[in-house]
Amino acid sequence: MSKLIELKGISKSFDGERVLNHIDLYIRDKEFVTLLGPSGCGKTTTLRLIGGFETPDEGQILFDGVDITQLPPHRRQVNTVFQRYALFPHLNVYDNIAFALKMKKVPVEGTENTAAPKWRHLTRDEIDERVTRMLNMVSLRGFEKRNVTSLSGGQQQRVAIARSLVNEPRVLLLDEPLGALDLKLRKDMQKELKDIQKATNITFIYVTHDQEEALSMSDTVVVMQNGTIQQIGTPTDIYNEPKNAFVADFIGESNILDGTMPADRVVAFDGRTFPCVDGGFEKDEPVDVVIRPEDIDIVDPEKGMLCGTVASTTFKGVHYEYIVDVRGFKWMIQSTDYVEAGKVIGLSIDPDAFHIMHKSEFSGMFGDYSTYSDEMDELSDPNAGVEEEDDAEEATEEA
Amino acid sequence: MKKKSLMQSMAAAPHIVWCVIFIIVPLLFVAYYAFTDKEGHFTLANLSVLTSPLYMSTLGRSVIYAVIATAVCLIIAYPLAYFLSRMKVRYQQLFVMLIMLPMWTNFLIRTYTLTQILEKNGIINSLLGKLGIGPIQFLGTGAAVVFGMVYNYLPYMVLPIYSVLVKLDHRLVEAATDLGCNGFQTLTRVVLPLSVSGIISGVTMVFVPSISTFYISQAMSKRTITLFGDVIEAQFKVNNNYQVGAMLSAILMILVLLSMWVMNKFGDKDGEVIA
Repeated sequence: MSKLIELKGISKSFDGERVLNHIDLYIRDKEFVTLLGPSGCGKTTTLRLIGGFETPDEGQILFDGVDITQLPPHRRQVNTVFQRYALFPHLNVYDNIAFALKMKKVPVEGTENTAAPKWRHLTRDEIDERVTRMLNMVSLRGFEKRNVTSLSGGQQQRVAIARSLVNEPRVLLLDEPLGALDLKLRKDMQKELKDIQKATNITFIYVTHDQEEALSMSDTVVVMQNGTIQQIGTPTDIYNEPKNAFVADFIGESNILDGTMPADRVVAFDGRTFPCVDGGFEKDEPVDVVIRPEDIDIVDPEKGMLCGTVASTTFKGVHYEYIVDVRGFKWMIQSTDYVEAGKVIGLSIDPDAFHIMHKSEFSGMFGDYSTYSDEMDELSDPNAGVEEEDDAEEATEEA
Repeated sequence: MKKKSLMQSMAAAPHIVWCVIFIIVPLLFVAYYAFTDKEGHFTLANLSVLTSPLYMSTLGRSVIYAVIATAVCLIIAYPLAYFLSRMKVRYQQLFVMLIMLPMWTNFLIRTYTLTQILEKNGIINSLLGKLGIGPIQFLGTGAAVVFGMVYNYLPYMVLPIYSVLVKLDHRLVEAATDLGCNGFQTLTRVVLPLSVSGIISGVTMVFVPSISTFYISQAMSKRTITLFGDVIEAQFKVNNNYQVGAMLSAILMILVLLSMWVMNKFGDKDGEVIA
């Protein structure tokens, strides 16, 4: 699979604030790539740069090896599904989908290969055939004459997808397309989008802050934070082999401990050593040790590698979630066994459950559940979210 | 529940009284004078103005001038409103303020001042004289009358269009370019259709005062061009013929109502196509 889109050394600032910092990224043909990260990490700006709605301050964007950095959106073989859809309110479902086709010009048959090919608009029948095909694909037959504002969120979403796919772009950009839908519908649409991508064989670049969505849909996940790419990999790689504390914490739950590597396949933390499967570190290199909550077994205290007191118990449906105090460090453990809060338990961890990472700028910021309720506090803090929204707003203003 | 509706009607009472005294009663006066003779007897004689070539050609001239002035206003105002709506918010406020500023001065005074500026010995001609050009007689032409109307009524075209455009979701413009529109196609296929309501109210707000104006034509044409509003004014103030004056007013009002109805039909029809 060849590189379809390549970003080289892309930087972008809005009002002196650096949103993207020397991004290098390539996207292969027919791939489902997700740009994943919290609000304000630069993922939407990256998408808008590929769509042509922004131009980078530095760097180059290549499409099929050709520089398209300065090319306006209407001349790119890329279409976008916008956040909250941006359907044309003055057009009905049919005309929204047909919009791009009415703009399109194709060479007149027989003149394609001549020096000066003649161009013509698509005929009514050609447009009708393609719009109908799209309506079938998104199961909206019979909705042709409906006003788009009278549709439900899920239906509007389908119109938006059909509208951007009708022109058969090489790449479809999707900017948090499922953000406005409720959970159940979201799950259905995730599957549907994946199916559409497989059926059409078009490259999808998908922006989301929902890690579960990213893991379940993508071929490749690009984790972003602070305007830089933290890690690129398959969903399994990203989950099992996170590169730093940010990735480990953002993708799923992680206990992250301060440790050292006295030797290959041996990790030391909390004053003792444990067998592990990772190696290749310098002797006694300080490291971050990641242990996923589901990889920890609850055993009798005397059989455990570590001992702790259950601080809290939460029933999550499939499993229980425990916060366990091990000598002052709060661990998260997920288990189907029930243990009462206050009880002393032993923790048992298999060697392959330790994941060792080099220290990074994010070390020490994540992975301790003693401040577990912080996230909740942030949600109820009226000032917390303000900064995050700025990114998207600025982006639209600039354009 | 009943108490609340009583409160509501009491709150509306001043407005209703206002409407009756200042809108309904004057209209009844117009109707009364239009269909009576000097002795106060009912008559249809005043309708004869409809067959008068003099009155009807004046009315025709008024329509033509109003249409031209409205069209010129629209051509100037639309791009202006568009750029205004794309500016940074604080500049928008400044420019909207500047556009509204002339409306604080009475239009008679504004028009009179305009004639002074454009006079043969006015500021512009004295400046041109220093450059060795002119003096040019600006006043006394049809173009001067149109200029006077455009000058006076342009804000009424800019503001409604601006207020629609400023609310236009910019992502729709992005979506249009994304789907293959160049700048001009984005304008004709997305921006214009979505600002029809602003255009219609702007056109109405310029056309109606333009067709009934009475001072601008006199001042700017140096009394060489008489419009329908001038004729009505003359009937009341010079000839003291309230009966004919009222009939002419009624005819103008019906014409205005008709044109507004046609405009709204046009807008509605567009709305239906949209839906």
